[in-house]
Amino acid sequence: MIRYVARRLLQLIPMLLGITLITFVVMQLAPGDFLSEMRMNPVVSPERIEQMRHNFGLDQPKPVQYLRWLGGLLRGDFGYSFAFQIPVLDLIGTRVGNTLLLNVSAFLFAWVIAVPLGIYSALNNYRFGDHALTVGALLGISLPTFFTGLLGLYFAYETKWLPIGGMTSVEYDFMDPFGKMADVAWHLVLPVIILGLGGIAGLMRQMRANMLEVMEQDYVRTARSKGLAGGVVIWKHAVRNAINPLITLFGFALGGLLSGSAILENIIGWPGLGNLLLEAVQKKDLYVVMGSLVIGSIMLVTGNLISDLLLAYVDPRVRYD
Amino acid sequence: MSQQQGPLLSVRNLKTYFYTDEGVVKAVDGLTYDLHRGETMGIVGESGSGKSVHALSIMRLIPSPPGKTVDGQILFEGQDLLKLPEEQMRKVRGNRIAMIFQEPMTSLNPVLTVGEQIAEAVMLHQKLDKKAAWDRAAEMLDRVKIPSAKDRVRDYPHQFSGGMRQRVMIAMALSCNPDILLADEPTTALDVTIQAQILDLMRELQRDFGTAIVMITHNLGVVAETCDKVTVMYGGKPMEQTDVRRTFKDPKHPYTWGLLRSVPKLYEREEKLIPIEGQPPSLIDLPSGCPFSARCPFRMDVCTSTELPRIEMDATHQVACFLYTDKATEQEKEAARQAGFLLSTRGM
Amino acid sequence: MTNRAPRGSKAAKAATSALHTLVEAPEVRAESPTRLAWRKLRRHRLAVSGGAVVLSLYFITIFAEFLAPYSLDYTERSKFLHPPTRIHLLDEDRRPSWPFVYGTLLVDPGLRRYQEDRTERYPLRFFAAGEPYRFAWVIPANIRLFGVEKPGHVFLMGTDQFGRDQFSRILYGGRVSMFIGIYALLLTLPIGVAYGAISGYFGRRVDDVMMRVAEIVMSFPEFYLLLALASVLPPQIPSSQRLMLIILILSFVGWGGLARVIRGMVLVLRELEYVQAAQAAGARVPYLLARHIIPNTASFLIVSASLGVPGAILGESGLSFLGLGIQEPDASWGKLLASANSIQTLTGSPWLLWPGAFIAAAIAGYNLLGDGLRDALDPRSRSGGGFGRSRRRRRA
Repeated sequence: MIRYVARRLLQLIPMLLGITLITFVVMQLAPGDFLSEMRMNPVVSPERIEQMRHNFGLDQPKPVQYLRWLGGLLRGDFGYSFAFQIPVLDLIGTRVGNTLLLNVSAFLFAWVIAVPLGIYSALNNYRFGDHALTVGALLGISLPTFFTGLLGLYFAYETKWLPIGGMTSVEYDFMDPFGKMADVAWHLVLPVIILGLGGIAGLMRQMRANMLEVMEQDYVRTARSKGLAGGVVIWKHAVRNAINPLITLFGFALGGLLSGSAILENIIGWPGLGNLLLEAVQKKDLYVVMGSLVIGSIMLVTGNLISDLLLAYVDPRVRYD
Repeated sequence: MSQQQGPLLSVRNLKTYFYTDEGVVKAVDGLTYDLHRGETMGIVGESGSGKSVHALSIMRLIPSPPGKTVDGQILFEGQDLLKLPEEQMRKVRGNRIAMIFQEPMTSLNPVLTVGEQIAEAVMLHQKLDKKAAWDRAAEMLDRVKIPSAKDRVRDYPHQFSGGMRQRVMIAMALSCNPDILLADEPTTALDVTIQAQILDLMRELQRDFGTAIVMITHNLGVVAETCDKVTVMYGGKPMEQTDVRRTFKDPKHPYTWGLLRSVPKLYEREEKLIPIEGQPPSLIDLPSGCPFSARCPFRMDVCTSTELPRIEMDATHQVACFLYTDKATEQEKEAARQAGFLLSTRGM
Repeated sequence: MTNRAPRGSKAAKAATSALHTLVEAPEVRAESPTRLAWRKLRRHRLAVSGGAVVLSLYFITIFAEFLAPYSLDYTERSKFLHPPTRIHLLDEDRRPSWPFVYGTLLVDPGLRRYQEDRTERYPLRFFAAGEPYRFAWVIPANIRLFGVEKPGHVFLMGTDQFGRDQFSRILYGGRVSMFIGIYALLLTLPIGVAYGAISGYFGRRVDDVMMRVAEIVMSFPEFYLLLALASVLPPQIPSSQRLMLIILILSFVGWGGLARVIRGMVLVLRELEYVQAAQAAGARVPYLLARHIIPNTASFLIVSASLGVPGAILGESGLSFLGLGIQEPDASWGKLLASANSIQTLTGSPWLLWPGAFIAAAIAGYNLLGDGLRDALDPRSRSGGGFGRSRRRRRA
């Protein structure tokens, strides 16, 4: 197992290289560089711009620029944000935490709701409840987060039940640690529901399909033939087998979540990585864009790795060595 | 519980139908037999003849919908299993009547250790605690001759070969010392050498445990080797029922003849195998009469129009065929007799 | 057949195989797979309704000029953020009347409250002359399905911040949204298929390298990559070029998953005997791929196409929603929905959410259709033909 983890980690190296390379190339496609806008600015002198060009190594050939940036990444130096005037890593650090908080909560929420619904749907195959859930799930998948996000905000505003966006209240700074936690949790409710909604639909349908398949397996019949009660057969013998394939979906789902949360963070004013990326894109804050892209990919790749390890842990047939 | 009370299991006119979009499939349609304590009965037939469905009917594990046991009785020690409430039935399953299946590769739960899978039945039925149940599991694995059983209880099914898994299945089935073992093609999926080992093992364990076995198979070799008596099934109906010797030496039903002629013989070189012409019938909306009539070389007009009779040749030999009724002419009976004679001289 | 017993008197294996030859009887179906799939699809009620939704959305966007009462850029500055116009069927005396609308007055500019002016009454006119347009880009025309005489207005779904009729703009904007998915697909599909087929067919090192590259592209969170790519679009380019670049970006982000699945299928297919036979007969690789391998992936392609279009629609909507896609004055549903992306505007003018409903309808339609197609084309599917819901493996 340890050897497997080590090998997987080794495999990450070329992958990360590729990710950084694509990121770099994509950003070089942009017309001009981030100093172009400064040149328009009469307040900034041409000498100052020349100096900045030199400082950021923009006068070097492209491959050298890439290697310098890459070298920086390895030392934890993601470059400097022009818009915020602070190192990119400081900026990204807190944002990553917020994005993870949102996504992991939404993920757990989706699982807790989707798995039982999927089981229910499968056990009531082709009855009314199953049909209703299937249609509901198909519609649920179809609602884009930017639409549900706006609907959710409107709902929160009309009912006054939930905070309208943001991650903290105005009085946050004056709260005790426990109050702060409760405040953030309270602000999490709406985005987690919105973000989780899309995940629920997909997970539920997957769980339903897995469960239907597992229930027809020979070992379920064997379990019944031993005289086990229906509940034991379902929960001990069927569900455990049906959940395993979902774990491989974990990485896939994470990609979808991160994408969905990028827009939602913007709508709801959640100070996360996606929101930062969007701001940076709008402000042509290149190093922040590149940094966010790389960090976002690392989160996704790590998620995939975790799901593979998790699968190896729960499914005895999957043994890596 | 004594033998004088009659058969251990008595199936009476069992009918299990599947209601599908395309019509009613009469998978088992009027099966009757008795099974005594310690006895082994073979149920022989082609795929689709209702062999497995009958076993699942006894266990009351027919998937419903679409399946349903619509008629008949399954008397186990005189009590009709079909009338038992589900909770009572659960106490029979795995405890008094156990079943092993055709596919050892898929019949064990891949995410649970084999020990767990044996022990859970033991804990449920024998009310043993966890420790004792696992000890029993190890003991059973040892009984089915799995090497270093004590360690292997903690292994998962995928760590066993096909033959070993079937041994695990047998261990699991016998772990609660059942009165009846329903063995649904237990050796079909295995290699020939492994088949023999498993059959030997089952015979040995039957001797030790005194279990009655219903051996479901399409393999006449298995029947000849293991069974005391035989029910030949076709199209959901019993065609011929008698003891194993007479099944091979003095078969009466044209279908049994066909079956025997399609089996190769070791000592007769160059002899052609004679397949039974035609295809097994679709079981959907079968016409009344004999399901084999479409392929039967001795078909008469009466075969497709009249309800199939069950002829008692004597107390231990029943045949479902019009040849032995007054519906058949003397010529037809004579032709059949000769065919039967020819067959029996071939020896088995 | 002269099988002999392999072992002793047991005759075991041979008897088994003899019986099997008696028994194995494939069920013969006269129906061709395409017709069977079509029949199953038509029986799939959800798929049919999904397809109907999709078709009607294409219909209304294609005939937007005729169906919309106003043109794309028609602006009525005094009627900004105007709520949907009420269409009256009863006159003041509560008597049934020809449908009509009242004129409106802005009574509170701060809260943007409009009030009906009962003195001005405009009957709805059908097939009347309205804003001129060119039908099918060439034929000048001005007949519109409905409208009211000026200075009256009929805003079915209200107006935006500039006083443009949202209903009309949704119809025009739907063109971008609905067709961008198809264009992106036309680009993604060949790229993904070719890439996957080549990778799977050659296998070994080629496959290794090609799949690593695909995995790297897929290891970006999709929307992050979209955002970054959209950010490098030069700001001052004509909208048609911009649209093309967006399509390019969408397909760049979307080809990886498709390629990976196709590759997996090709890996299996190339081992099939008829492919190897063709190979032995000297068929060349491009021919083999095109003639023998890719056609076998057709049913998967149809399904992934119907599920890929909504992905592209979603991508474009998301970009435009964030201001990185279509630019003013052009419209797409995502761009239109962006007007609602401010809590003040949203709460005062909830009708600005309408474009979102259209996006959702389009995606739902495609998803239902794709789901039905998958069922219809999958030979193992439960719904539709065969034993249908009650199909079970029966043993003997």
